[in-house]
Amino acid sequence: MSIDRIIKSYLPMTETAFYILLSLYEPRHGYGIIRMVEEITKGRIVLGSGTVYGTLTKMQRDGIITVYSNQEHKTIYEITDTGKKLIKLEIGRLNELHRNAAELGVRFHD
Amino acid sequence: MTKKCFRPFWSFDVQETENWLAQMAGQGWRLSRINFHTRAFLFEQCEPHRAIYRIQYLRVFDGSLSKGLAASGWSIVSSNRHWCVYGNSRESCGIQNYPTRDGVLSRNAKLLICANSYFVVFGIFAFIVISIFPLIFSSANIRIISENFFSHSVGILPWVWSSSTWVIMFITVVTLCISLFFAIYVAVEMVSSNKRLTNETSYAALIHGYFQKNNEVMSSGLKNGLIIKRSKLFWYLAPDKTEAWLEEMAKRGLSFFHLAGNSFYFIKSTPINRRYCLDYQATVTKEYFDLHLNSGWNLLYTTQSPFQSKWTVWSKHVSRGEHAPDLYSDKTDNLHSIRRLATRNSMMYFATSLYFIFIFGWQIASIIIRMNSQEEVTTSVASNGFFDPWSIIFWLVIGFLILICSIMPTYFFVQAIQPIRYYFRMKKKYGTDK
Repeated sequence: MSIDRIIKSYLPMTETAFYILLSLYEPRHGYGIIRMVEEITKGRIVLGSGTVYGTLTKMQRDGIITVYSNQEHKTIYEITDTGKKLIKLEIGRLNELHRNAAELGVRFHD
Repeated sequence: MTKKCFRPFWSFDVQETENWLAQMAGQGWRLSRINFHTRAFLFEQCEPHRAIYRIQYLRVFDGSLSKGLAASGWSIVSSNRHWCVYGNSRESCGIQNYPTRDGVLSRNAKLLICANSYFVVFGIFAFIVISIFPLIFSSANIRIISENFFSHSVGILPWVWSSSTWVIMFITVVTLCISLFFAIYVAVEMVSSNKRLTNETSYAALIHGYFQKNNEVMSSGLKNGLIIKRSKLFWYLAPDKTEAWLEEMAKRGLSFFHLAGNSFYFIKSTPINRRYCLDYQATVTKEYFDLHLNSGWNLLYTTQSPFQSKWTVWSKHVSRGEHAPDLYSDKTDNLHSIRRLATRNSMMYFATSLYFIFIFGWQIASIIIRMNSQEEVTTSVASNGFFDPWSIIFWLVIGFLILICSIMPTYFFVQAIQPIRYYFRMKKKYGTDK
């Protein structure tokens, strides 16, 4: 899939996809991703193992992440350059949202 | 100094190819490039050295080397859109990460399905040919066929049975035999290669370890009432209903532990609050099991199909007051695969229903035709009019047959509707299908 089609298909990102990619700032195995996301969202998001498996498989097919096995035959996921481009674009979008929310949100306070 | 080797079937057993490449390195030949179209392996002469090779297959490969693999000493020797041959000169104890085997396992499983489909088609074709073989090849019939059919048809040349026709037949038969043997070779290679590959990662041991079913324990348990067996035909057409049924049984003190075909086996225990999840996956890897097991799900049963598409039964204990857990935290993603599964199951049962209608309709029609051509019936009807014993009995029998024969197609038709209803139930519960 070309980078444009990937961008069109993934952005704007669901919370699940965003947090999975974000937790791959360093290579991790599947359960490590679930634990990481639970930690950084302070328990608000506990990803289902089925959802994670499906999303990781899809991301692998689209070339956003790559896999290899470690010595204990555990599958380790690593983000690719395409994936890095994607998450940077999404973070840019979220930054814009945050900036505008912070600036104009005060008007909603009575 | 270079060398070229041809290995047309190198991809059927990747471990063998990897060992061969390592051997060549030991003899002083380093793999420089593979031409994936011509199956040519190009080697350059060098110092004999030790090297390990790993062949990876991915549906989509962009040719880049991941950092984790690079850190373990791997480099890409040759690759194309799907295949990648990695080389490493370190000692195996110094290699932390390896390229994944999952792609090769999936590809082998798909090739195995192709080979098996070929056997089925070939079998049907052979059966048809063998059944009309005596008809066609009796010389009287050949004359009749060629005289009546071909010479009376406008614009079609009369077909002459000559020696050239026999040659064509011979070539066709030989080609079919060669392709059959090739399909057998493919099937055997895929099964044995996958067996060795899964043994390498102890994946098979993980699955089989769970299902050490003891037949003696089972039969004695069934006799003394400790183990109960319940049948649920077509449980996979409405998995959510099956899940609810298993949870109900658990609340009544019957704990599910094994599934054989359509028979569910329960063991008597204390009533517990459990969540059961029936999951269907088209492609299953070791990672699938690792993820769920690490998340606290218990593996109760998985289908032993070598084709990698599996039904798996997972369960998790639910504490008092806790919301029932699920394999999926965001089921909207799953709706797409549920729809595909439901469509496939539905189509299968519609086709079965149509098949029975066709078979029975054909049989009944031929009975009617045959009966109508019998002397007794026609003369009897002619002399006694419509309301005569022969005619009434005849139509009663036909009506009875139609009634009996419509049971099967209707039954399968009803089953075909189940997956559709299941999909719409899921869609209603979990939101839109993207």
